[in-house]
Amino acid sequence: MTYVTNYNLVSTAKPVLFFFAVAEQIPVIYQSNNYIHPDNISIAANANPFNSSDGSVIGISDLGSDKYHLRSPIFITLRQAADDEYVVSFGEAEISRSGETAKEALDWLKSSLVELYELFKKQRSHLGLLPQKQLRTLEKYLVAKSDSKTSSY
Amino acid sequence: MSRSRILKRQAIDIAKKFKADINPDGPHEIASVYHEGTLVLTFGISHGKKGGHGHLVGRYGELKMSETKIMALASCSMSIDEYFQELKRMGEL
Repeated sequence: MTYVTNYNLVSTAKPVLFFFAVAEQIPVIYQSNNYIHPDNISIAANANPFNSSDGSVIGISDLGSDKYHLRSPIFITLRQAADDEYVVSFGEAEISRSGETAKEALDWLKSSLVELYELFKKQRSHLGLLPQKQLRTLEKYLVAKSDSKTSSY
Repeated sequence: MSRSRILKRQAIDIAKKFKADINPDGPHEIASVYHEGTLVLTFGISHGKKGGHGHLVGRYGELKMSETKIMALASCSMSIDEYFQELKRMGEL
């Protein structure tokens, strides 16, 4: 599930507008008062009246992974760098990905969060400053689906 | 808007220069860069058709530097040592 918030990242950390959308099955994006169909996620980068070079903020609550789910939503920025280049960044973990469409960039980022989490866990004793910080952030959000099954009633 | 000058070719050149470990990530790849036996950074290599790599660029990009410096790194006018020194200076290493 994906939802977009209008959030002015350039000024202070206070949201200028905060629109929160929840859907049952499919990703849904709400932008201002306008509904944007999830198939056309790229519109979100252009439609934001507060859009800046830092882009729009997107909340993600599902990685689309068989192995991991998110403990809580993560917030990423989406910006359009060119007609055919979108960049998404999970700033808290300093992980970014590009794509020819917003969806492609977003899908790659989701996949990379899982891949990097597993890579960093394997290399835990050989991590430099940045990967250590990235692993700490990923550990905060990613939970193995098997773990959550064993801990639930 | 102008597309990033960093493309798949440059990303691969940088990975080769660092002798990075390459792991598959769906249709793309993740390059792992080691310095003195420590994993110091990773970056994504896109195998998209056009392959802009804007995610590598900038202070918060995966290579932590400007497009100009990353182009210099890819084209060998910046050495690996110079790159690591710059990372150290930035407090990233």
